[in-house]
Amino acid sequence: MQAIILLLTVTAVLSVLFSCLAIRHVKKQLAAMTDALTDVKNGNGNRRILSASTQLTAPVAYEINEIIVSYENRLSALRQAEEASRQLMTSLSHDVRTPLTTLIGYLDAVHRGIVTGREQEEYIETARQKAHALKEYIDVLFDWSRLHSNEFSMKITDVEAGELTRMILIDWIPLLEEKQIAYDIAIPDQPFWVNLDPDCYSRILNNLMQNIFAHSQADSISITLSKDEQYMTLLLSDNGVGMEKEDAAHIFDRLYKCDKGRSQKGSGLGLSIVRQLAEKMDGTVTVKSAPDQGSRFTLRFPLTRKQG
Amino acid sequence: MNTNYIIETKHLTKQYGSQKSVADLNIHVQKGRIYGLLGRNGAGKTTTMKMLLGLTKPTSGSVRLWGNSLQGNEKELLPRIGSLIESPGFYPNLTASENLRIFAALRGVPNRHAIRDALDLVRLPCQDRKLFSQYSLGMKQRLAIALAVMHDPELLILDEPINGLDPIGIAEVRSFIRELCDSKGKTILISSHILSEIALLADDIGIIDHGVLLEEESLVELEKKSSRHIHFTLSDTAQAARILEHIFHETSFSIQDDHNLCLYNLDLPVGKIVAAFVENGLELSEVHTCEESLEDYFKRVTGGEGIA
Repeated sequence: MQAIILLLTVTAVLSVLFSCLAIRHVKKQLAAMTDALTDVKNGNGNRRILSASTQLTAPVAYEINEIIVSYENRLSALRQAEEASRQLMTSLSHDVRTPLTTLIGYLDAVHRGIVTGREQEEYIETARQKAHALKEYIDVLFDWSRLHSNEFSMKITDVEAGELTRMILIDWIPLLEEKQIAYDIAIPDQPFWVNLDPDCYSRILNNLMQNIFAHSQADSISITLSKDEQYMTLLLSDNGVGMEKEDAAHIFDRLYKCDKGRSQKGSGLGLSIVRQLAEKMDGTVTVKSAPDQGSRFTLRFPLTRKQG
Repeated sequence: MNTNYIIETKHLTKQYGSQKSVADLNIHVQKGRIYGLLGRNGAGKTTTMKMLLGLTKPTSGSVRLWGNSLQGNEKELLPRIGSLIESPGFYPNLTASENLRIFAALRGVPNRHAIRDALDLVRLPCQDRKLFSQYSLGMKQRLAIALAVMHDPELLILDEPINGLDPIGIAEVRSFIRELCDSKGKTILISSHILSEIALLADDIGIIDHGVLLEEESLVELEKKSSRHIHFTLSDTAQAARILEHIFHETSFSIQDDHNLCLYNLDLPVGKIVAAFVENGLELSEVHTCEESLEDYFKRVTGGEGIA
């Protein structure tokens, strides 16, 4: 009897001791959690509550972490968007300032009577061309911002891309001849049925052509349309200056320019628009290039019908 | 005190015998940025990092983390850091996930799937029966990185993290470090003796040589300092732009404001340009040429010995 009482007493004392210890432990964990939560409340979304999975408080800690992470992810997406538009604004003010100031330079010279007669007319013509180039730049910019707004929508239909491609390229031929660039355009007569928005497709092609004109210094280009079982492939290659591998890897990134600091040519947005439009139509665009070896741009879209 | 500094050291010094391994070091690591500590082998990078983590005691000076002194607050501060210093002690007779499970129980984790997430991130298989002793150098390094990020820390301190990795591994690690910083807002301190590696990754750079911090600057500033251009300060940039374009047929320049213009083509005859400017009634107050590459710059700061 005494032995039983002793045993019970010992058990009771031990269990009280253990629960005291457990409570102390949990208290400590709660204090640490409160600390971390105060930090989060003050705006530090990277703070986590750490807990070994065997600890009593672990489920609560993990749950809180999950909530913090999901809010932080949304906040950081916002921050990134903000950063992107800030960068865009900086480069925009930079890219507009140089051509606009140059344009003003010509008009000021006319205005002050520094030039007269034929030269004056020349100056006005140069200024006019510059104004148009600036407008083109603004158009590209508008495209880009529209692409990134919620208003953007495409009218994707099943179109025959062969004829569409021909129609788009015809408009470029006068310019190719004017610049004395040899061209070889091979578009087979067979139909290429693809799901496209015709406007966006022509924007893609025009931007790629524009890019060749502005940067490649090529004197010969070739454009080939072909297809296999699943895809139609448009290949645009030139024999121009090409680019470094590092540049080729980033050329479709927003605001990427091969020639850092030389902001005269292009917005750094044209090819980024190309990729985004292509991807929105389930297509891909890639480039292969090496310095002085020309560039090969490849555009691929899935076919909707196999034959016919 | 600037609370934006995650790491701030004041006159941090470590002396071994008569040899000062780190001398009077003041570094400032800002929140949400990647800080690259660049220096040759034996420059004091690892010693600095060890002091930041309380692994070795500074001879004099202090370390502040999140605005709090490290000394006396180790228990609260250190769990918020993930680190990779030399090779961590893993059990050779256990697998990768078994090793991580031990650390998870010791240190605590933010969620139930932390081990799997960490292994996924460094592309090590989770259900692998391979023992740590059978791992290649690159796989060991990956596991060490997994350990550093397992508890989703706010601050990462990585000592030469790309050591022992193959080129693909290097690119992977680089992009995931960038990702941690850009999309998750983590702060990262990374050391390397390879200039190009730091230039690709870091936002801020500290150059350390013989234990002394020679320079601390953002990469943007450094690149500005080292870009090759001729800088003109003159009375009317619009006219200057017109002259450059019309007379010299040069378009690679950018206009900063009404009085500052940068010309990127260094092959032009500066004398003739200046003469043309003056002839057209422009007042020039300054012309200087900047043509030092990033590498030249580092050679100069480190006293000609080079870093690469």
